Formats: sequence, structure tokens, C-alpha cells
Amino acid sequence: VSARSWIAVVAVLATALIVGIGIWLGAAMGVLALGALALVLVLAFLWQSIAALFGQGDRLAEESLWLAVPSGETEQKRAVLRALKDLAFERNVGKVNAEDHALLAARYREEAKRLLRQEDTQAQEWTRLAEAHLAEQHSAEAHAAAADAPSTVGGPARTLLLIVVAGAGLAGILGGMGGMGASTAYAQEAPGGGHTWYQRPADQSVVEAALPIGTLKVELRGAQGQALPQQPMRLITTHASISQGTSTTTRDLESDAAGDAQVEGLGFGSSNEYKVEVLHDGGRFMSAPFQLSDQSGQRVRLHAFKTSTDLRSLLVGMQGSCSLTFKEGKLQVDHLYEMVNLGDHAWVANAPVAVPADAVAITVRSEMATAEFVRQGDGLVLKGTLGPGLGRASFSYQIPLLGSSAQDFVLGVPPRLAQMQIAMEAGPGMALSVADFSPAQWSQSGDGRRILVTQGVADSSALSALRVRIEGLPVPPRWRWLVTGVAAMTVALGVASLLYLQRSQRARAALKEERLLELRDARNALVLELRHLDAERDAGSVGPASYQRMRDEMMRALGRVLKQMETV
Amino acid sequence: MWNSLPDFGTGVLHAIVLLSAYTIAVALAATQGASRYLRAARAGAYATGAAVGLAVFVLAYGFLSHDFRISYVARYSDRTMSPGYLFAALWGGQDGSLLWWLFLSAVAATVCVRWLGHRYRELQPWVIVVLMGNLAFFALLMLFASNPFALQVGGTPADGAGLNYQLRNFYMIIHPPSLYIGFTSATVPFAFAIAALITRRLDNEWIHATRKWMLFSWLFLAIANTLGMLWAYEELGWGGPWAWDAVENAAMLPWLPASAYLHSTMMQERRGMLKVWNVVLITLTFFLTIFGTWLTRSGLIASVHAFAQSGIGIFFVYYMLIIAVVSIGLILTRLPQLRSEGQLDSALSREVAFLANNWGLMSIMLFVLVATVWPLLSEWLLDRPASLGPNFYNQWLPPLALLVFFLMGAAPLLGWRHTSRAALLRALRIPVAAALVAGVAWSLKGAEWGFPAWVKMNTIYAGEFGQRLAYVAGFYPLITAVLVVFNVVVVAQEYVVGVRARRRGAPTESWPVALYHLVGKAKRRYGGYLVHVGIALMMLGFAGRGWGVDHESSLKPGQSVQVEDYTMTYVGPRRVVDTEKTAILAEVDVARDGQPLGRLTPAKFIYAASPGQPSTEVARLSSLRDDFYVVVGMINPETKLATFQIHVNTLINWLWIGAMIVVLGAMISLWPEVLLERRNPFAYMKLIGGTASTAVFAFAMGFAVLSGGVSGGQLALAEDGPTRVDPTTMLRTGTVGIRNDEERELFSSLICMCGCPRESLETCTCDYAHERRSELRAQMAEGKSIPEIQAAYVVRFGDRALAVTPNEGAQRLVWVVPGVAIAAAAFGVVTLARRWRRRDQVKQREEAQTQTARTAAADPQQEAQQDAVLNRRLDAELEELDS
Repeated sequence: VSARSWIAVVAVLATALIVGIGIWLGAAMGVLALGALALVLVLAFLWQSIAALFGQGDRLAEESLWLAVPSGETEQKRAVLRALKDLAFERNVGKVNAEDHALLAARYREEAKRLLRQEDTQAQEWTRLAEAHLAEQHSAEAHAAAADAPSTVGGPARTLLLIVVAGAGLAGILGGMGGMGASTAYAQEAPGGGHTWYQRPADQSVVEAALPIGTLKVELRGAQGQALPQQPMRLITTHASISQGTSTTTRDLESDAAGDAQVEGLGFGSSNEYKVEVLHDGGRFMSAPFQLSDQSGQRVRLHAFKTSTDLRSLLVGMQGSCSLTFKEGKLQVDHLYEMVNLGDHAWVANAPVAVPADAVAITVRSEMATAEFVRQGDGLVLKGTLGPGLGRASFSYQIPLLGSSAQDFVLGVPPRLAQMQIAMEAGPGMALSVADFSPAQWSQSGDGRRILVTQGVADSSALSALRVRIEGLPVPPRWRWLVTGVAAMTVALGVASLLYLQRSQRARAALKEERLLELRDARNALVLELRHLDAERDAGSVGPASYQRMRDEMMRALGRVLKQMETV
Repeated sequence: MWNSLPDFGTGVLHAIVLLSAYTIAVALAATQGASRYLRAARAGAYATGAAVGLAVFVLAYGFLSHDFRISYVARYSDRTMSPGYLFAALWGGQDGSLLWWLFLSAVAATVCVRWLGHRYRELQPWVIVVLMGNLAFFALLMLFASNPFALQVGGTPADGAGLNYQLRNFYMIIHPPSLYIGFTSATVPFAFAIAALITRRLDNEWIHATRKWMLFSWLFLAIANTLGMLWAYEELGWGGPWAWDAVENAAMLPWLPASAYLHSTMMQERRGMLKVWNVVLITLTFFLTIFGTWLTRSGLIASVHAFAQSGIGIFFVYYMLIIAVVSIGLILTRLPQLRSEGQLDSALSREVAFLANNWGLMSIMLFVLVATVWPLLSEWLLDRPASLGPNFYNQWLPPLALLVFFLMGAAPLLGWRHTSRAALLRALRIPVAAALVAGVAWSLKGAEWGFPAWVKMNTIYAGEFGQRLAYVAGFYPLITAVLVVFNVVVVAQEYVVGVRARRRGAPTESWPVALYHLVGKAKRRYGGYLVHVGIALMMLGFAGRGWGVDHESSLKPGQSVQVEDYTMTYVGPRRVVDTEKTAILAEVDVARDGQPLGRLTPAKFIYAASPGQPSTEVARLSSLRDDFYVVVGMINPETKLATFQIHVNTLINWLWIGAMIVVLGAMISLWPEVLLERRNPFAYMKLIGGTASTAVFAFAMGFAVLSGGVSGGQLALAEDGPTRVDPTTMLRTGTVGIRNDEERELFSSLICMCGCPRESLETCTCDYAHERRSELRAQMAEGKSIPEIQAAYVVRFGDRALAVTPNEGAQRLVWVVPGVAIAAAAFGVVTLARRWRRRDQVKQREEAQTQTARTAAADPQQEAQQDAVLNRRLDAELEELDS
């Protein structure tokens, strides 16, 4: 009771302290205080454990008394009694008729009586043992012999050797990509440098007051603004229906002699979105998506160009950026390429881009452009039509981190890459290097994270595959193998101790000795209780019937302990 | 190792491994009987538990102090999250949920060691070894594969990514801990079973020790599954609570052997029977908790709940192998000690009903298990991808479930050992009459009441077989409802008969007092009956889905729509903004038969962290008859035109009411014997704890029922802040438009191949699914039949695209294998029962001979005197048994 009171007092004080810290210093500090309490408990229990292991600390008499509690032998009797009780209940509620009840009850009563007889036989033996012990003790006391003192566990051989081991992503691509330094660099190398570059006429999509509502007029023009007559076109309509979701329909058109085409009766409003597409000279050209106004019609001017698949004959260049971020054991690699075509011919692209062999989660993002990356086999291919002007395409994949502090990999890039910037989110001690690139510099991303940035510019030819090395990667806890080894050895030691205790005569003798001491404690505690019971009877606080019942129980318990002492 | 908080956390994980290993070593030494080693092991177990607590507090501090150096903290929290959600983020991701698992396992282990005290001295060291071994496994798992204290590789971000919005839900805060409590507390019975097998102490001692632990585990698994259903019903917005998803199945699987064990353990306690079976059930329950975790976390089977694919699966495979080898090895070597002692007195007995019930529950488990892993098996063994959607389960499983449901009702009518035919017929009279009346009335008047006797079900297979299966399935709701009546009347009758019997013995007791004493004297029996009532009502809730009505409508402000008895009038949209999201609320007024019921606000939440994925916030009005359940699909910001999905979910609230009754019944069975035990402060604390936990879970589920009409938009929101919605776009994520039954049948039979985990076109809300539905509608408009469209879809996307694998060739194995196994098990059960019956007859003859011999040898007068004394003692002991 005393120990429990102390525990209760300490628990209440600790709770009050933690709650107080939580209220005054905030929830985080409250949780930290709980952590501190847990740490204290770890150390306290560990100390208690080690002390118990080495025979220090008191053994409670209560613990020894459990040795006197019957277990297995009473279970059988309890089961039969329960069966009889169930039977009586079921007879009462009419589940069993009188005849069946009588038959079954007789059987189970017979079984119960057999067990009672067996119990009596055992109890007689236990009581005899207990009486003999009490008499012997009484006699010894009468001869002024020293009474048994409650003993503590002695010091049997310490068989167990104790081992104590206390023991943003970058959120897209970096800013500052707007300039076309790459195209300038490329332009300087371009044949015939110094002349004026081809200026692509702008596509248009404007509300035309002169056109009736629901009318679309398409003007198809060539590189120099000339009309392109008799060209097949397609009007692609994306219809967002409330009940059916999104659906897409297409309608074929053809430009007239003036290079124009007109469609009437189209739906307007935000639920209908249109694009005009033309296939010309093997290339595909498309207008930006537009919606029709509910006030008037729409005029769309779209340009189509002659095409080439031969990159050498084209003024095409690229500027790329690559972001490296870390996601749950993997390196996320996001590529984004700004493409520029300075000539008056469109490039029909079919350029493969290698991805690392162990790359997973390869994703291409559609930028609603006519040229974009698509998956092909294990790699990627830049496909589609890049007309004069600017284009944009991107893809991403993940590379597994190998668990070492440094990792090398090769980034495949598309052709005609004039400039590439690589940025990596990085913690202290990390380094990024790319062959032939500038040394990586520390910077900050848009969301405030520290990043390492490096870039390379093509001198005489486009950049090809890039060899990247990351250093200073956090590695898994280096102690884990050591700790696992120590833990395995500790368990092995436990198994060895078990085997030793089972087989070594010396160890078994020590165990017997310890068991005897424990049983002796139980015996002494029971004898003491019997004396208290006698005293209470003499004082009149216990009636004769209760006295007899309690004494019988305690005598049986004492007998059980004495029987065990004999057996040991 | 210790120079920063994350390193300290990792260091604590190391310490847990060492402490658990130390405790195992000491406990192994304690198996030889030295009490000081046992004391050392107990203290070691406490130290290990405290160390696990320390690890959790360190991580919790990391969350509360926004320590984004820790990768897990950065991935699952941000600075806008409230302390409640920050705490819930502890189990929001894989690494943290494993730590949380470890923590709850440590709590279970510590409580178990504390509860053991000085009892079960021979078993105790081995129990500690198993419990600590389990802790060591999870600690090693984290150190090697899933460290929640791992540093953010790319440096410290200014803010974290935040918790997935679907997890920011009251039920999701309490569902995982409940599930984990159920899972982790199953470790304790397993530890006892292993300890009993190793020490060969296979009498009833360990059964007594584990019964309440298993009931506790069972209760929390039931609560967790119900909370999971509530979450799905409220948060996913597809109108139903259960979709036979792999992870849902994984959570349900251990509950089935646990249920079987709670019944079969009574046979061992009372009759010494089914000893092997009980060990198998406990082992299987624990094994399935690990198996379910492996399924969820290995990424092998896609699911809406599954964690991302990771490398921890192989660790679980090793662990399962160890568990299986150790358990099977021990059971096989201990078979002689596990022989049944009892005999069957009669075929008309509760023992036989329990045998049948165990067969039924294990058959369901086998069927669900095979169907859950079938996609894997089909790919590995048959080299053919396969999928099994909810329709497969809904058409194949009910016959088994209904049989078990019938047995659940019939078993209480049978007494232990033997029930006379006349008594059984008498007991069956009222329940059967009530069920027949209900069935006839339902058949005649059901359609008029809105509950037709037969409902149309989707066919899952082409051809006549599929049509017949669907036709029969159309009767399942009616059969369920009839069996609900049967079950409830049986239990009511049991209570009435029990009270009457008690009042015959104590005529002065009033009915309520007699009831109180009746339940108090037999908490396990009458608590169990109440659980039966709860399950019956839950079955009614499931069956009600068959009579539900789904409707879709687009309305302009001021327009109304009529669905069944309900009239819904769209008032208009409203926009509210808080720090983490913009909410677009669609206000609707609902009336029933012309009587206004109130205003609902289904909503779309657009979180700043994921603006491209607006979440669907359901609104509903609940009554005992049905739920009026509204989801807003699209709201056009220009025209304010909104599209609504309206579900009238019939009888659904009986599911939650039933769950509350299950909790209440289980708590009565678990109720501590505080008044009969020592009356000390700890006993009273136990009593208060039990009462509080009952109240909390009853409240959690009561909240679901009473919160009808409460939409997610009722969170604290500031009015009319700046919107983040692009006015030129439409909010369209999160709804599926289905116009007729034909479309429903087609869409439910096909999987969306966008990469969504195993979702059918009936429920998948992604853009890709919208496009596929448009295409399929076009094909239907062209006059193509459903099988033709399905065939074309399979040609395009492969076999995996079918929601239910076709009933052809080796794919038939998915129902043939469990079917044969279930039939073989039934044969085994019958054979076993016959053998026990024969053994009983032999034993009776032997007993009669022994009795005759003893009577002949003894002095009749002395024998009679001794017998009279023994009879008096026996009566006294019987009197004392329950007092």
C-alpha cells in the first residue's frame, strides 16, 4: 500500500508538472516534458531490472504467495461446475427438458464429485503437511529456536552475463529562365550570322464583331503570311457536360481559295472549348484553345509552315533546366526544355532521349503543344512539330537512392541543347557536380529552401548526356548493424543461459536453492498469516465459521507450498 | 548520434532494439523458474515500453515544433495545421504509422506485463519473449527500412507538404488508432498461445488468460472497421460505406478468426474441446494482422487506402515466415497434448452450432482472403491479370454470410450439451413466426413501402450463369431483413425467458431489477446476445443499400428536384475561405412530403496545398428509414448552375446504430469484475477507464448518426474572403454522372485504367474516367451491347480492365478453390462431430461399468453417507460459483 501511495503521489505530481508546462510553455514543451519523463522511466526501469538480475532489491512476500495458488487442478473442477450451472440455467429457461436434465446433471454431478474426492485427497495431504510443519515450528519455538526470518534471495551463481548497452521540391524550375540566352548563343554560331532572324507572324484568336454569334472564321496562312488554299483542317471541340463530364468531338474543314474557312452554329460559353488543327507538309500546327463569346463570333488566324526532319538544316535550339528533389528514398528528376526555332521551317521532331536504366515513375506532362515528349520503350522521344518561335516540353522520372553518401548518374538530354541549368535541393554538407559545368553555387528556391545550382553552356556544339554526381547524401543510421549484432548476441546469450540453466548441475542446484528460498518465504508468510488469524479469532474479530473456512484455505495453501518444497 | 533531435530519435530506436533484446535474454533465463530473472524481465519490458513512448514523444515534438529537418514531419505536416491534425499526422504516413504501431504494441505489452503480476509464472517468461520479439521486429524494421526520424535529404524546407486532405477528418483521426489497437492487442493472445505450446501447459489456464484480450482486440477491430466505413461514407462521397477494397478486407480478415475464437473458446473452457483449433485461430488472427499490414504496405495490391510502394514488404514476408514456421512447428509437436477431452452429447447442442458457426466464419475468411489476393495469384500462377470488384463479393459472399447469420440466431436457442427436440421447437416458434410474418408482409407490401422483395442487381458474368447469379442476388436484401427479424426476436426472447426464470426463483424482484441481475450474473452471455442484435442491425444497414435510390440532377438557383419523398431546392452557391482552403458551398433546402426538413450545404473544398484536387464534402439528412445524401458535383461560377448527386440510402443508419450496440454488448462482456475484485483506487480507475472508453466510442458513432445534415462546410470558415477559384473553369473533380441502370451496369464492370487504384468507372472521378465514360456512352448510343463494349474495352486495356474477372477457364478457380475447401471443411466438421459423438457413447459405457464395479465393492451405507456429504458440498460450491 505504501509503495502504491508513493507511486500515486509521484504520478499526480508528474502529471501536474507536465500539464503546467503544457499550459504555460505550449503543447510542444508539454510533449517534450513527457519525453523527459519517459527517459527517466527508461533509466529507472533499466536500473531496477539490472538490480533484480544481480539479486539486489527486495522480493515481495506477495510474489511468493502466488506459489501457493492452485492453477491447473482447479480448472477441471471449475469447468464441470460451470457445466452444471449452465445446465440448470438452460433447464430454467426451457432449453432442456426434465428428463434430459436429470440424465445430464447426474453425469456431471458424478464427475464433479469425483473431482471433489480427488481434491479432498490432495487437501488432506496438504493439510497434513501444513499441520506437521506448524507443529514442528511450534516445537522449535518452544525450544527457543530462532524463528525463520524472511529471507531475501541469496547469491546463487550469476549465470547470465549482463550486457548493458545504454545507450520543394524546387517547386518547378528556377526563376530567371525567361531570357533566351541560349538562342543568342546559338545564333552566333548560326550560318550567315549577322542577318535578321525570321520573324514568325503571330497566330490570332480574337472576337470579331462582324461575325454572328456562334460563328468561327479560320484564316490559314503560310510562313510569309500568304493564304494557304484547299488545306484540310480539323475543328476540335471539347464539351464539358454537366451530366456526362468531358467529351471531345472533331469536325473536318477545308480552307477556300483565300485560305479561309467558316463554321456557324457553334456553341458558346465556358462549357465549349475549341482548337483548330491543320496538317501541312507532314507537320501538325494548332491554334491555342479558345471559347466563343455570347456576343459575337470569333476569328482565328493560324499559320502553317514547311517542315523538315533534318535538324542540321534548321535553326533550332534548346535551353533546359533540371530540378533534383528527394522523395522517400528516391531522387525526383524534373526536366523542362524551352525550345526555340529561329528559321521559317518547322521541325518535325523524332529525337530520342535516354533515361537512366533504373529510372521509375517516368512521367511526361502535356503542355498542350504540338511537340512533346512521349514514352517509347524504356526511354523517351521528343515527337511532334516545332514551328518557328518558342515551344516547351517537360518530363520527369525518379532514380532510386542507393543508400551511399555519393551517387553518380547520367542525364540524357534532347539534341541542340545550348544551355542547361541543374538545381538540387540540398542540406548542409551536400555537393553537386556535373562534368563540364560550372561549380555549383548555393542559392535559395522560391519556397525558401537552400539549393545548389550549376549550369553549362555549349561552346561549339550542343550539350549531350550529362554526368552528375551528388555527394554528402545522408546515409542510413551507421550504428544499426552494430546494434543489431549486439542485440542478436544478447538474445543468443539468453538462449545460452537457458541451455546452461537446463543442463548444468551447478546452475540447477543454484536454481533449486533459489526456489527453496522463495518457497520458504511463502511458507513463512502463510504461517504469519495463520498466526494473525488465530490472534483475530482470540480477539473476537473473526467468527468461528469464518475462522474455520479461512484456516482451511490457508492450511491447504501452506500444504501446497510444503509439497512443492518436498518436490524441489 | 545524439547531437540533434532527429539523431536522438534514431538513437532511441537503437535503444529499443537493445532493450527488447536484453529483455528477451533475461526472460529466456527466467523460463527456468528463477523469480529474480522474471522480475528483471518485467522491469526490462517496462523500460522497453518507456523507450518506445520516448520515441513517440520525440516525433510528436518534431511535429508540434515544425522540425522540418525530419523528412517525415516535412512530408506530412505544415505550419497551418492545428495541433489535433499535427498529432494525427503521427500515423498519417508509413514511417510514423509503423512507430505508432510499435507504440501501441508496447502499450499492450506493458499493460499485459503489469496485468500478469505474479500470475501464470510458467507462462509469463515466454509471453514476455514473444511480446518483446514483436517490438524488436518493428524497431528493426524502422531502423532498416522506414525510419520516421530520417533527415530530409534535400535540406530543411521553410514549410512542410501538409497532411492529405482526405485524412483531415474526425473519423480518420480515430480510425487508424482503433485499428492498430485491435491489431496490436492480438499480439497478447498470440504470445500466450505460444507460451502455452512451448511450456506444454495446454489446459484452460491460458484460455482464461487470453479470453478478454481477444475480446478487446475483436472489439477494437469492429470499432475500427465501423469508423473506416464512416470515413468512406462521409469523405469519399460515393454514397456507400464498404467497397471490398483490399485494405478494407485486410482490416476485416483478422476479425473473422477472432469472432470464431470467441465462440470456440467456450467449448474448450466448458468441454475441453477444440484445443488445436483455438491455438490455430489465435495464431491465424495474429498472422492476419501482419499479413494485412504487408498487403497494405508492400504496394503489391492497389487500393485507395494503401501506402506507397516501399521496400518494407520483404521484412514482413520474413516475419510472417517466422510466425508460420514457429506456430506450425509447435502445434505439430504438441498435438498429443492438444487432443480433445470432451465428447458431443447430442447433435442438437450449442457445441454443434458453434462448430457450424466456426466453419461459416472461416469459410467467409477463406473466400475473402482468396478473392483479395486473387489479382496477385492470377498474375503469378496463371500469367493473366485479373481484378475482382465489389460486385463479385456482393454476389458470391451473401449465401455464406446469410448462413452464418442464421446460425447466429439459432445458436442461442440451443443449450449446451443437449437440447430436446420439443424444447427447440418451442423456442423456435416465436422467432420463426415473426420472421415468416415479416417475410410475407415484405413480399406482399414491400414494393408499396419502397422495399420491393426483389431488387435488380448488376450481372457480373456474361451469359445465363451471370444472369441467374444476379437474379438470386436480387433476393438477398429481403432474406437479410427476414433474418434480422429472426435474430432480434431470438435475443429478445432469450432476455424475456431469462428474466422470467430469474423471477421464478426471486419473485420479489421487479422486471428491471431481475434484468439487471440476470445480465450482471452472466455478462458474457447477455453481452454476447446484445452483440448479436448489433450485428443483425448492421446487416440491415448493409442490406438497405439494395433498396437505395441514386439520382443526378443539375439545377439553377431556385429550381427543385423530387427524389422519392424528398424535394430538394437549390438556393445557390456560397464561398467561404480560411487559411488552408476555399470552400464552395451549395445551399439546398430539403423537404419531405412537403414538410421542410432543413438546409444542407454540400461543398467542394479547394485546399491551397492541392488546388487541382477539390475535395467532396457530403451533406446528409438522417432518419431511421434512410439518409438523404447529397454531393455537389460541379458549380458553374458564371451561371451558378450546379449538378448534384443525390443518394437516398435506405436503412443505412441502422449500420451505425448496430455498431453502437455491438460496442455496448462487447463492453458488457468485458466489464471488469470490479465489485468482486479488490476495491482499490486502481480497480476504480479501471472501471472509470472502461466506462469512458465505452462512452467515447459510442459518442463517435452516435455523432455520425446525429450529425446528419452537417456538411464539411461547417468547419470554422471566414465569410467571403478572396477566392482562389479560376472563374473560367468549372469545378468538376469528384463526381460521376450515371444516367440509368444500363450505364451503371457497364461502368461498374470496368476498371478505370488511369492508374487509380482498382477503381471502377462507376466511382472513379478522374478526367481520364470522364473521357472513357463519354466514349462508352457513344458506343451505347451506336447500339452496341454491354458485352460487346466490355470486350472492346478489354482488347484495348487488357484483362485487368474488367472489374470482375470473367468466369472462364482457370479464372473459375477464384470461386472453385474456396468452394471446394469450404465443402471439404464442412465434411471435416461433420466427421469430427460424429467421432466425438461415438467417443461419448464409449465413455458412457465405461463410466457405467466403473460405477457398477464401485457400487459392488463398496459398503452401500457408507457410500450413501459419503455421497450425501459430497452432494451438499457440491451444492455449496455451485451456489458460490457466481457470487
